[in-house]
Amino acid sequence: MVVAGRGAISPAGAGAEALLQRSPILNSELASLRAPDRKPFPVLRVDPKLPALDRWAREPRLRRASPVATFLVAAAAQALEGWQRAADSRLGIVGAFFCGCPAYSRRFFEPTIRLGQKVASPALFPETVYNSPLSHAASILGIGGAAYAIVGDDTAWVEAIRVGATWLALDEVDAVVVVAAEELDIISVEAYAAAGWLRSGLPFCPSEGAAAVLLRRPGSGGEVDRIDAISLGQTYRNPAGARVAARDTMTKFFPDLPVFPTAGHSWLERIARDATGPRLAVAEASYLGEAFVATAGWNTLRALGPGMHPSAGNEWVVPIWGQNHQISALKVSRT
Amino acid sequence: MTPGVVDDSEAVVITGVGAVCALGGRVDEIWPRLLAGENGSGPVSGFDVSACRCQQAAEVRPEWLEANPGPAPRLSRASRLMVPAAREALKQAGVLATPALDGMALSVSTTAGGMAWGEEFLRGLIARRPGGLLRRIARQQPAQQLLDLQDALGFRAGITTIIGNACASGANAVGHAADLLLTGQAEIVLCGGYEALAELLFLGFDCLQATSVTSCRPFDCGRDGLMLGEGAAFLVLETAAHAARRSAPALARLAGYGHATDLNHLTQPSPAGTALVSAMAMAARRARIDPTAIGYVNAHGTATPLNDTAEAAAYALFFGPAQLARVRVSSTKAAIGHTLGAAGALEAVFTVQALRHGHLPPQIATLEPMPEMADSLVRVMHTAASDLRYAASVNLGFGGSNAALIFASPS
Repeated sequence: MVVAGRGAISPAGAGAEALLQRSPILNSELASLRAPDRKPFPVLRVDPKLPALDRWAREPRLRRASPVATFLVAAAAQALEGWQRAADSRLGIVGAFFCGCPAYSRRFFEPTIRLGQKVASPALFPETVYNSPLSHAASILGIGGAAYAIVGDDTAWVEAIRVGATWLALDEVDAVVVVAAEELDIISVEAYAAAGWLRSGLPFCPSEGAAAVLLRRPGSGGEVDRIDAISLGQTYRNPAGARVAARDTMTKFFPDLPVFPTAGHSWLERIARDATGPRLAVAEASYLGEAFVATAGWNTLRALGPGMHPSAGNEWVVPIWGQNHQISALKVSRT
Repeated sequence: MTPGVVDDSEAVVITGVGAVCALGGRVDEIWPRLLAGENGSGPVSGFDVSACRCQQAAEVRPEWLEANPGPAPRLSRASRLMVPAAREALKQAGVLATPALDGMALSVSTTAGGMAWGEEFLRGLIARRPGGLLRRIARQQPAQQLLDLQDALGFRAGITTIIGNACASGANAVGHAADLLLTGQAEIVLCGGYEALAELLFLGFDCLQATSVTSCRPFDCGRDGLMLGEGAAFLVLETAAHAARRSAPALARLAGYGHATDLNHLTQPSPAGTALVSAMAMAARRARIDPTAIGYVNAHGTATPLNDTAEAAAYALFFGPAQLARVRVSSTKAAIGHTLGAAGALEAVFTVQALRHGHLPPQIATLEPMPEMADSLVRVMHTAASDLRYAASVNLGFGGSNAALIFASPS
């Protein structure tokens, strides 16, 4: 598939180019929900005043939506910017989510625990559903055809690309926007803490944002960047299983190609390093935190970015180290 | 595995089905009850609903759930619904505990995963007693239920797709499984959906006033809302060639799948039902049939005023008035509730059963049918349909998701 467009919203700013810039500084903290006197959690946040987000602030569908919806719409719109869309073009959209809509889920349910079920808000509930951000994007961007919300860990990004590739192969669409989005909320950060991902000594930093690619069939012009192959996801349940899944992915999926480093600072970093071995081809890019599916998307965009080529050639593997389900990889190339 | 050349002449067959819902823990237990017009609703027992408008739901009895291994509740209710349904489907297909299971593709849907454990986690944080909640929050997300499934049945999956398209997800998961087969990414897929009732979901539909305070009456002039339910359903889909190599008999064919997005509103379908028409037209095109070939539609039929109006309009447009009077329609949600992420898969199983056995699930509870649907609804004493060759199952969902599946008899 040809990557015909790209978009990103991240703590580094808006646009895929921003992903290649310097590391953003740690710009925010989230208070603990557990105890007011507990040390706050450091996080990396998207600047809500970014013009790329402000552009969508007055959209009726986004006025009451959660940040993840705005991130998703902004990134998808960027990916579509360069495409000359004909009136009869068939466009699909696939969204990838790890936490979904935690902010509105907490805002909806927490008051019912504290104050009783009578305070449940009908304005909030629809925004808790996994596909509500995707629905907003489809409406705003005028995508009335195929639309799937794909759920999983970081590797949902890979599965979303697989869905897009499937629609292209079936000739259901002329192009498909694949977009991953994640938002921060204290409830999800508390869950990361409970999972042990925020232990002292681990530099894991929760983050948020979105990444998008516009995929088209080869032969449709602008064939510079491509996603050539998608690995089978290798599932795992525990660290020992993750080690096997990582090794299987890296030995079975284009074992001779250089690897774009993507392990970040999660608990999988050592497993990733062991599985990858000496195949790393480029220096690691700046750390934008762990936004799961969005991070997977940012890494794919960075691997296709100018100036990030491995000296060994023009094609390489982008592994996606899912935090709690599976490990996958993409083969990408640039000509 | 990357999508390859499409062989759309390849038939997609169903070789196994399994289900758990408020009417039973196996398909052969559910099906006769469904045909007999039984209703699985009752007072909600899983959580407190004393402050809600609606007090009823279609819950699954504890004896139909997968047993929890050991004294600690390691499996979420969602997993306990999913495992027996998947096991039944795999067993009927003849692949349970065989090498064919390893690397099998999964295409599965849910809207809430293990939501009840997420609720418990939040309660624990608010009460400042977070201890012991790690294991539960760690298994709250949908991917964890799929790992529970693989652990319980002793295999590791290949391609794993989890679709969260709200109430149309189940149909999407079944349709996507066919797409994986048609693009050569798999030869056999376990597909389906699951949903466990949870307080957050119940409160959500209740505060939207989408739930009925009387009874769930699809396509009734006086309908006043849906009844929530829970359950799981799975189908084993494979290419006809793969099934033939295993000498596995086909229960039915999945002839066509279509999907489209309604851009009208986050929770309200377009009154004209145009996205559903698009989805049904796409499914018919892929099945290479005319709408007149379809003899039965398992409708979404939630019994909310807006859904059923849009759906009836879509049927009128898709079939035309003359054919709509001939096609038989029923919504099984009056019997088993609206099972959200499981609905499309459960209803797909019922549609396959209708083709296999020549009987249609009746439209129960509806007293005064909407005039435009009156001639179509299957009445309790008139469920026989011996000449049925094609049958459809359709779903609409929050966010504008619309999906249609067309099944055919295997010959």
